[in-house]
Amino acid sequence: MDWIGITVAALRASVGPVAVAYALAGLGLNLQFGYAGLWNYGHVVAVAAGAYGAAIPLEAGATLMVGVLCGVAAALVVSLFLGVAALRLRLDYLAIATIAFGEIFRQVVRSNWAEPVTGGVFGIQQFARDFFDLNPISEGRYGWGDFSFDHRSLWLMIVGWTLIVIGVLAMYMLVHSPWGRTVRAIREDEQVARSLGKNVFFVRLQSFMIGSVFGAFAGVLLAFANNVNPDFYSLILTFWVYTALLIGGIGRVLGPVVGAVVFWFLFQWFDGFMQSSIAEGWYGNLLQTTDAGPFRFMLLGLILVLLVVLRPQGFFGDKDEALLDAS
Amino acid sequence: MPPEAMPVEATPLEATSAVLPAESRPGVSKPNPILTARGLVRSFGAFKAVDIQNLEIQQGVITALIGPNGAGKTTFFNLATGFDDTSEGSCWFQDQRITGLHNYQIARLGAVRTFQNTRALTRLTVMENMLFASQQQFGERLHRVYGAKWRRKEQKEKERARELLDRFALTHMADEFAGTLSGGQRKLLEMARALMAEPTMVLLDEPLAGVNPALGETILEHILALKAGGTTVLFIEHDMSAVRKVSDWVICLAEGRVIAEGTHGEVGQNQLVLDAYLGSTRGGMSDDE
Repeated sequence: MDWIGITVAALRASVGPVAVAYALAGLGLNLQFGYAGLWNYGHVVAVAAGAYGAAIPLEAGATLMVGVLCGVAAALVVSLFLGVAALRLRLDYLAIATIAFGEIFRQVVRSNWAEPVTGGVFGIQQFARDFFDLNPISEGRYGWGDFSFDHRSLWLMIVGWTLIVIGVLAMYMLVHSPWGRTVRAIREDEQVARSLGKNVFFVRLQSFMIGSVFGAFAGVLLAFANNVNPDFYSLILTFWVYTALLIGGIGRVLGPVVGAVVFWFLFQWFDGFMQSSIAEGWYGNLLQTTDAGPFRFMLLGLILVLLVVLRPQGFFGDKDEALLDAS
Repeated sequence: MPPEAMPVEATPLEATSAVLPAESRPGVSKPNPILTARGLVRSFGAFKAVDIQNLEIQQGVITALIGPNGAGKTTFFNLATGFDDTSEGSCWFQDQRITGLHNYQIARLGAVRTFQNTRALTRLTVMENMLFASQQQFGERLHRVYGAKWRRKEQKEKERARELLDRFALTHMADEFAGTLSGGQRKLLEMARALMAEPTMVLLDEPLAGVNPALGETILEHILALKAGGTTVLFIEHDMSAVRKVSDWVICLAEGRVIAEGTHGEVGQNQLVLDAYLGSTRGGMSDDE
């Protein structure tokens, strides 16, 4: 078996455009879930709003800047709407409401009714020309051996990792400010926060909307990387971002970034491993090549279980903090 | 049987600048009231958990709220601080009608409460617990987070927090997570945190519940110190010896109504009060919940 080949492919995925998008989305989800304690299971809505919000005007001929701003604005509007409606609920209901909203959003954009604008089930293609026109890298592949990227991916990665650096710095300052302290205090006990004069609903709405902005940038990047397809933005995307967040460590600024890198490394590694081992006939007739897909998820799930048991705080978390009783 | 009450000599009160009301009847009006309730009702169906015709809490004194279990003491607290919806009637804080305001708005006016079950913000450090409670945090507003100004202003708040932690003997724990504190330390932190908000009035819901006698004494001293510092105190307490020690005025609730008011001596001899306690809980005026 080509262990090196599998590992190199996994490394490539771990820093590639999709991992970058997951890291950005995770930064936002970490603010909402890790710091503010909001059970947002509809983070995919912010990602999709960013993607569609940018793709629709860009396809209609808007400039790149306008397109990106529209993507962010779309996520802000959607999260404002969802936040005003759902953040007054008890947090367990918030989880249910956001799950439902995520699915409603996807069903709406993929419906026949919305097809003239969103492209329905076909999505939107060929709108990122302006973005790739800005690419200073000339055509070709760059890298060492199999660890290489084409000029388009490389351009996405440069922009994406720059966004991550800015995002991490912005997030660090945010959560280490008095505002961030209030956000965390509300996570611990909202009644105490109210008894000390804090407007819990408003602070939650702020953190919810800021988290959505990060999701929107992830969505714009994914749209440039893969076009826009409604079924890409299904519920599972939210849970993958959660998985990455758990791996990296909840409530740590760098957690989602490390988590996304590790998540995509493992995901790709298990994929390569299952493909090769099945092809080499390790399991006889028990497994076919088509079984590789489901099995990589099982292995990923196993890692997640081990992680929760052995290192509940993730890579970066503080175990003492993670195990303190939240009540 | 109630635990044997500690022998209590009539502790001389700290000099009260405020003049107590001349009469001792339920609903008596007082000089300089800070919190006023009129026709205040909280009903659950046909049952009225609180039904207070008239009640005034006097500024600058320590008032104890007593009454058997289910008398409506905590419900009254919840109504006065906006943590529950009033069915009828109103409350005023200073001269402002506060019924209908959000609980955080009432807190901003200066009426800060604590809860019966201690609530430390466990995954914040003790110092963060304190700083968070301040009403003077420049950097708490989102648009100022990226400025440099809040860091300078925060220093002042930190000093104030350190002084308070000192007073409550928590300085050595300042950088530990509040979740690592013992039950008693959490009680102290909760009080210190409430003071960090610089309230004009604190409403303490059973500050001595689950606290050992020595720590209880400490907390009572802190309550007296609050009054000395000009803060009005209203506290719910079951332990009559504690009530005797610190309170200038005692209000007894039973079945949602004010059945007696007066100094602890007067209320302690009031037949209605004795009936209310003995009639509803055999244990009498103890602290079991």
